[in-house]
Amino acid sequence: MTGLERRYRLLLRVLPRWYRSEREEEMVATFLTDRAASAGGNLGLENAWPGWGEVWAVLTLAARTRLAAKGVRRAAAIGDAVRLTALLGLLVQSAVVVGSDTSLLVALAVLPRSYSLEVLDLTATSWVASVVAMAVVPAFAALATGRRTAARRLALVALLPGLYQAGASLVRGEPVVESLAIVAGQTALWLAVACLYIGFHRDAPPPRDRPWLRAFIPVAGAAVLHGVLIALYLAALLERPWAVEFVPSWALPLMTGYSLPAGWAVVVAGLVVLATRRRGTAWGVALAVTTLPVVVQQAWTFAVYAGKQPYPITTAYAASAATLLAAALAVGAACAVTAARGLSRLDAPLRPAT
Amino acid sequence: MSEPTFLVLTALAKEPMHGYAIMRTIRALSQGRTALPVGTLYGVLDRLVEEGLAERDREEIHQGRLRRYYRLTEDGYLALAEETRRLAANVRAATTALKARDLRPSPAGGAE
Repeated sequence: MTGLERRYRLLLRVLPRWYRSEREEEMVATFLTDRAASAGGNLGLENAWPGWGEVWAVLTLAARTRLAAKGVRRAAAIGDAVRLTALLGLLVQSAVVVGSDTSLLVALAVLPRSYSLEVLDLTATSWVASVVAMAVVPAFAALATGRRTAARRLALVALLPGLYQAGASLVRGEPVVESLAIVAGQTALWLAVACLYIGFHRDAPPPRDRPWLRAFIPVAGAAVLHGVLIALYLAALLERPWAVEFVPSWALPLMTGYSLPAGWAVVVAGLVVLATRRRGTAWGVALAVTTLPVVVQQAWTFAVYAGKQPYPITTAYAASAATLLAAALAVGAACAVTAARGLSRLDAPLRPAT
Repeated sequence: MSEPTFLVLTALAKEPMHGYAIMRTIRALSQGRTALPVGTLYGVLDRLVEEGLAERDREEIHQGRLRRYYRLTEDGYLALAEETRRLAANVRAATTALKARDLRPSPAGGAE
């Protein structure tokens, strides 16, 4: 066995076992014959490597076989789960962006112009970032209506503001922890985009658009209401501080960010899946995975605020993060157990669909 | 239909072939422009078999290595014929457009 054959067989290990048991010898023979013919014999194959084109082709084949659209039941269930994770993630992130931009616009409208720009920390860059981040909404709509390529491009655009902010923070010489906090805040978006890229491969079926587009309406509506609430709270805080004294301290964290309502929405979705048990294995896997960024984000928030001075506001932040963290861990674990049981029932066949 | 799928169907239309023979034929058909990686070739073959356009023919051991042959099904020939008609119509339309500007496609590619 030449070094090239060893390395090619190693590359083929990214393919599922059932596929390799059927195809490995055939693929190795085809690959080595082609390389030997190109090289004019077996000379020089000891130190050769599979080219980047071949590596990419095998990785693509691995995505197609591991996250199948149909055929192998286990691979199809995992593929469906990855595709659901992408759709759920883009839906939630769309709501977050809609809520965020709504609160910004409402705050601009209700706050006196003299200090609104300063209070909202609005610069030309942050305006552009707010607009560019909106790309996640058409990305979700494009995916829900079967426009996979457009969805992929728009989702990449939606990642740019976070990348820019993290990079700019590093360039300004701020502690690395600041950049990490920005990245931690974007985990859910990164996860959704990664699932979009690997799950919606060429053979993947487009989602049924109606349920997803219908789901967007109430979710975006709730996000708009929340955005308006945040803006009004900010205006009251600045102009009528006495009014906000009636807001209970546990509700304060809800008034300053979107990660809490988005996180609770994911937890509630997980509870619905657990309660109904009708959605199947794919939904269980998808919700288990979708709770991961919620756990990361809330663990980060808790770590930040638990270490601060115990003012009522910091205590409220730490408590709300801890509550959501515990709920997300419990629901995520329950979904994972349900999904693992479902997957174990789907025996991987020894032969591919061919 | 993607170009790799069209080229694999075209290669198999002549006779049953194994993986390497398909790659070699495609390179010759495309005058060296298209060299399918093995991962892409087997992705295309999987799809063709799944859609009933191709099927396994026979297996041989050649110099200690497995060679599995594939052949087109009747549906495969029909799909290739349909795609060829579509492409030919496109070529006719393009040729007419080029003629209007006094250009004609050269057999070696490009226009004269």
